[in-house]
Amino acid sequence: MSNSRTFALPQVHDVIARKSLYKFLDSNQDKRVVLVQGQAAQGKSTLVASYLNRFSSQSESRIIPVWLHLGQGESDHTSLFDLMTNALLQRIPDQDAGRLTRKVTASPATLGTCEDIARQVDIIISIFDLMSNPVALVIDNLESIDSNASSWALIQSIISHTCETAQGGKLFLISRKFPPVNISRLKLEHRSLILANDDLAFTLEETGQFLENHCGNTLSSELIRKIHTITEGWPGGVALISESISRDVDISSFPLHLTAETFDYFSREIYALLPESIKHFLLRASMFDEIDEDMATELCDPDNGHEILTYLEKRNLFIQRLTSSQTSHKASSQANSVGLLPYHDRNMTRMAGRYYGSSSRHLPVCYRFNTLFKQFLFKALIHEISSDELKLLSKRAAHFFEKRGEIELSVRYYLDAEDYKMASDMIKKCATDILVRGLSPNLGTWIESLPETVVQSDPWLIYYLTVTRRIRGGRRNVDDFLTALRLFGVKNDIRGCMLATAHLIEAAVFVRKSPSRIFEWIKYGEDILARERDNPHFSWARALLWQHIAFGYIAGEVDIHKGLSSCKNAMILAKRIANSEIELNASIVMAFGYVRTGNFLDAKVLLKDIKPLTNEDINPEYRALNHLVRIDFALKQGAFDDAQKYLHDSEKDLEKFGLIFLYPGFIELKAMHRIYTGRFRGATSLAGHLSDFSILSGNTFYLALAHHIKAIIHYHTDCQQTPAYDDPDRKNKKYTLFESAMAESEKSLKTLREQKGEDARFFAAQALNGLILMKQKNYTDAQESLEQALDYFAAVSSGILWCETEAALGLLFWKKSQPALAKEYILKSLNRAFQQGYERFSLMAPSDFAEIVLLGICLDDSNTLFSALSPLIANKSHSSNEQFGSNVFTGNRVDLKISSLLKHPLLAADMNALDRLRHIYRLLLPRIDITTLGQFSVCVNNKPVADNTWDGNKPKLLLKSIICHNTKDISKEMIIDDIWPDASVKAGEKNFKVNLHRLRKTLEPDVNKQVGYSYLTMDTGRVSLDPELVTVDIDTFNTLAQQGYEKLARDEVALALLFFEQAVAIYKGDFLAEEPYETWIDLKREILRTYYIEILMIIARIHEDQDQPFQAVEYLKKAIQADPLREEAYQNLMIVYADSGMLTAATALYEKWRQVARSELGVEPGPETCNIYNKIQAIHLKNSRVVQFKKR
Amino acid sequence: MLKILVIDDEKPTLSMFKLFLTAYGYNVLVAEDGKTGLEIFEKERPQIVFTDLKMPGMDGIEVLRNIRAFHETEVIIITGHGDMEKAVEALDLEASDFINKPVEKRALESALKRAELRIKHRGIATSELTLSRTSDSGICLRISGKLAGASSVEKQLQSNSNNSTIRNNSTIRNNSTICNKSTIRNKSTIRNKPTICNKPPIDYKSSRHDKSILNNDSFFKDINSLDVEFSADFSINRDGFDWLVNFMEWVKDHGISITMTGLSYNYIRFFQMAGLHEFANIITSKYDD
Repeated sequence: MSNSRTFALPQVHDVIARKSLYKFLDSNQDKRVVLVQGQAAQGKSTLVASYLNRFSSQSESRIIPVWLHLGQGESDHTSLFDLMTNALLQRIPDQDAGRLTRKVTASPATLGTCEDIARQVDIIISIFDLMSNPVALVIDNLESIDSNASSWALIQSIISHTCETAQGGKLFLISRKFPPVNISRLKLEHRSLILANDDLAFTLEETGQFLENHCGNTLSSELIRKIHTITEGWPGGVALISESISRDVDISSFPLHLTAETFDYFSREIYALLPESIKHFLLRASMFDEIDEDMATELCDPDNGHEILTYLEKRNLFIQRLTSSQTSHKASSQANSVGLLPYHDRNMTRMAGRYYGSSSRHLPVCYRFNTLFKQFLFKALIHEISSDELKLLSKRAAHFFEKRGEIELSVRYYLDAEDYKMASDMIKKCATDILVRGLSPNLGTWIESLPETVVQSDPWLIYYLTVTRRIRGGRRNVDDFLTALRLFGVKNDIRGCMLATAHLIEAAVFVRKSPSRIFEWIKYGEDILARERDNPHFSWARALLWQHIAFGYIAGEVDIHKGLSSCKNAMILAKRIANSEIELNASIVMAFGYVRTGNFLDAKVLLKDIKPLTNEDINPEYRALNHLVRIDFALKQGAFDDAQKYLHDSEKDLEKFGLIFLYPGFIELKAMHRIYTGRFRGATSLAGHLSDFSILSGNTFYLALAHHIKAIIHYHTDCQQTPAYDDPDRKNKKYTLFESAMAESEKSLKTLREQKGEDARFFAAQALNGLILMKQKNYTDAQESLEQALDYFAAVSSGILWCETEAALGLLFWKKSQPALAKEYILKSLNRAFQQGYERFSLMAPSDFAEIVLLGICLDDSNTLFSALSPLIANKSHSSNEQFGSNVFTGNRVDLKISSLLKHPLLAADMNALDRLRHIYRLLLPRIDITTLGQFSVCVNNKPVADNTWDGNKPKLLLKSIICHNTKDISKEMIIDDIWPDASVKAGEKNFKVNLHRLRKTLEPDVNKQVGYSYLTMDTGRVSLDPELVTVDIDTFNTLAQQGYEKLARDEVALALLFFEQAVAIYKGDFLAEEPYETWIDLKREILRTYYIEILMIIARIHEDQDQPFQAVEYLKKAIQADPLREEAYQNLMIVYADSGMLTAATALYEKWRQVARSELGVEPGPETCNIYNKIQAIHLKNSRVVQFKKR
Repeated sequence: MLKILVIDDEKPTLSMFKLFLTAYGYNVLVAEDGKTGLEIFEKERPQIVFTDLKMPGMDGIEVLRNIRAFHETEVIIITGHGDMEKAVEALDLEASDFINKPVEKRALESALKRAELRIKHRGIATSELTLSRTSDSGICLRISGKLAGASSVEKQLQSNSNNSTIRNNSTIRNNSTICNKSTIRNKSTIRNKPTICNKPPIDYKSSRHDKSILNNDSFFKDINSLDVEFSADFSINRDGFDWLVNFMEWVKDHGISITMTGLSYNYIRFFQMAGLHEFANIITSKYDD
């Protein structure tokens, strides 16, 4: 019915300006939600309409008012959604039309089974967000919605969105009753405004003004006061009395209190006074929610219909004009300009056509009665005429609407007239259109109003009724579609058979009927399609049937390959008939098929291709599939944080929209994420959950997946444990997790072997099986498994699985001492993997992957892999962003693998390979940070080396000596001279040797014998700290200070300040302050301290130049603290104090310096200091005089 | 649209139930603990409740007890494998049905179908037992509604025997007995007797009824097969289960083969868990197709 409505502001006549209320509303502009709640005829709508009219009359106003007048029909959320989207579509400015084209209908669920309300909320919110101007949405007559209606959820979501959005939209709710939404809470939070009955009542002044407008200046102030008292300012009451007065009714007989409850009484009074012709008109008009001039003439009064309407409007007799010709014309031209989807075209054209008529260019004006008045009139109509007469009137109305092309309206009146034959015919005439438009709830209500016998004998009525409960009908739908199909079959109705079969398959999949049962119906559908291959008709039904056959094959677990092929058929047909909805749905099913088979690459391409048909805002299936594809790619690229985010978003959508078919795929990816991030317990629980899902859905495929995941978990877990050769306990153990992995792998392979169209999954399981066999040293079977899988992946061009199977074979050949083959396979695989951006493999344990990468580096004579991977490994292994130990080069005991390779006989002669390995080993060593400014500390991987591991103080002193001499190429003699100055050469040498060894052991307790010590190197009697592995704070301090000076020299003061401040932050105390008696440290300490003070002075000066005295003071104080005898710092601080008006502080500082100079140095302050002091004193004196003068 | 409340402390299980039951066309509410579940129950009054037995805080039995105190709602218990004693405790509290974890599709559908049937016939269907002779050597015992223990069974069979028309023109005499309980009590040769709880077996002597048809061995003379037919709305409590076990034991001891039909998938699982399959050939129900 919504398409017959208009959504512009109602025209309000003869209203009095409610200035105080306007002012109140203006002063609460920040409250986005306004509830206007009051009794009937309290002027609620008039207030909001006249208030918003003020804005629309302002040319600069950007607000778009959209007015929704609800009826009981809008208790259903789909009706309300329909009304809202139509309203927004009518009222959108031209510039938004194009962007909103695709937003007006909730796409029917393809993979989801939840109610459509969540989809509708998303769409309405996205329309609001897309509109360039803010919308003032008015929802009027809210009380007509049932208290437990589904629409409240939609309204609540719009309220929440209006409060939260950054856009300046506004929502007015008009209701007689307090609505069951959270307005009161919002009011407490100062986010909503409530205008109640008392707020809306007329003041005495307003009552007087209203009566003057209606009755002229004839009423005494006493009478006005009396009217105000008995009506308590109720606008409806005042209007009734004014009407009575104008008809010379004696108002002295009125009750003392006049409220909305007395409306009937007054309606009767007013009604009784009206001429018979108007009474006749009003009674008949009460049958309609809205009435236009044509209806008035044709159905109510052929002679004076138009005049009566105008008269009533002018008298303000509870009638409201809804539209002007301007707004209606806009609706029509808008519909043409936005280039809507076909069915919307039809709607809008029909709507426009209704107003225009087929030839006329004149738009009739539309009216609506006050609800209470209409109810009164309708009661009177029922009372006055017989039920047969009423049926005749209804039939006449039905004919009228049918003739005018408003089939949906005609249905209602045919039903009222109990003309079920015509009602059925009309329902069937408009049902397909309604269904395509988005399942109007009216359709179901209409069919349910028909006698059961009528419905049960008509397959179309059964079919339409069942489709209206497409999702919520559950298992009952299967029976009902079957009944419809049987009746269609009897009548040989091909189109009916096609549609019923299509929906039957879909319903069967939704309620998870067995694949064999679904296949029966698929087969039936395919037979019809084959039989009707040459039939030129029913293209839409044919495309829909292909779409659902595809859905049945894929989501019903019948045969994925056939499903993909059916998707293609549906898409081709849909394109041919330009039905974008079927094309989109078939594509989504196809993308699901790809995701289901693990073919994320094709899914990604397809989803990109269909992007123009939809978007993520409005299509949860599209969004969820995109998320799954993104998760898969993020996992392959090692971007586990991104994957986590998409998993989170996905989970929300899956639950919200009931996307049951995507759920197992989601669980699988979530389990893989857990495995890759080392959380095996969580992964095991998810595999168990997948197994539960499989049992509940009666589907063995997911059980196979659960076994596959469990196999991966066992294999990864065992790989992560200390290798057997390094763990004597494990060497003796007979049972390892690889055996559990193998058991699970066998189960998975066995089940997958029986599944149709699951080759990709089967061979992935086969590849995993090969990996596990290799771990069990069963190289022959492993090779067979891996080669079979490789052949398959090569044939279907599967990226990552081909890479890892190829690499696994390479590793296998290495283990079989076939280096040439190993080299060929590994290099081929790695080159392709890194080209594709894979940072890990999907099945392979990270430790095996790391071993393959190390082998690749060794076996690649060209050094290409080494050059490409070295920086990558260096960055990754020490990245601060590392999450969950994601990097395969950390936490997988790669050091042990390198050690093992370094002594591998096949590599013994290859010096280059060994050098490359040693280099990689060094890159993977933990970094050491040494702090010398302030408290001395040594941290390995951010963990401090404990004091008891130092083996005495001498190794520590040795390190300090190396640092003191700048860490590079320090001759051992210098060090001996520092630490053992009195020792003989021989004793010194010995001490050096012993303590160097102790120091090295402290820094690198688990030294790799093949690589040797890495942090401290000794070359021809000279010691160095490796600058790539060891960071010393004084080096950082010097570098930052140097950068500061460079920036300062280039006048880049802000950057200079940044570097200097960082340098200062590092200087936490004097260099090796804990060694006051080691005189060889003094010089370095003094140099660094001087450098530090200089930097402080510079920073202070920069702040001083930038008029930031407080910051300058702070740094100068630090300088004095670091060197209390630095006169220059005192001078500068005195100047800063004085310049900032802190003369007392400046004087005190001078005094302090004089004392320090005298006591510490035995001198007086220098002439420069005295000069500054004198200037300060002069200012002090001058200021005192000014003060005294002012006092006087 | 029927409302279903699912109470389970495992979130993934809840998600899964929600997805499936929504797909089946129900309005699904979920709660992660018993307390929240009861709050939702009070507010929403769902027609069917699924509750897990083992939950931290308020467990499934407590949930059931609270609901049963005031309401007739269908409460289906989700049990872990081997929770026999708890399951029986739940039956005592008038649990409508129970399903084992991991929940099988068939079990869920069967439980739903039967719950809907009971809702449909609520207030109409009562417990009923009818005996009929199906051939010269075969008899049939039909059990519908709730089987609630020896006294009610005997009362019904008694009343039934007065009115029943037995096929093949034979009638059950007033003093016919199909189960001599004193014989059962005296027999000590029964091995592997199914036990479902620690509660002592019912004392048949004390509940014996002089005129009971169960007092006469002669009724089973020449009978070599017994079909026990369970209706779609069949349910049972602890006493009823004890009676059934003893009855079947006795029948079996008389060399009569027993076939059970019409049992829901869940009851088959439950009876198997209790060992009844050792006495009878249990045939899958048509209701579960």
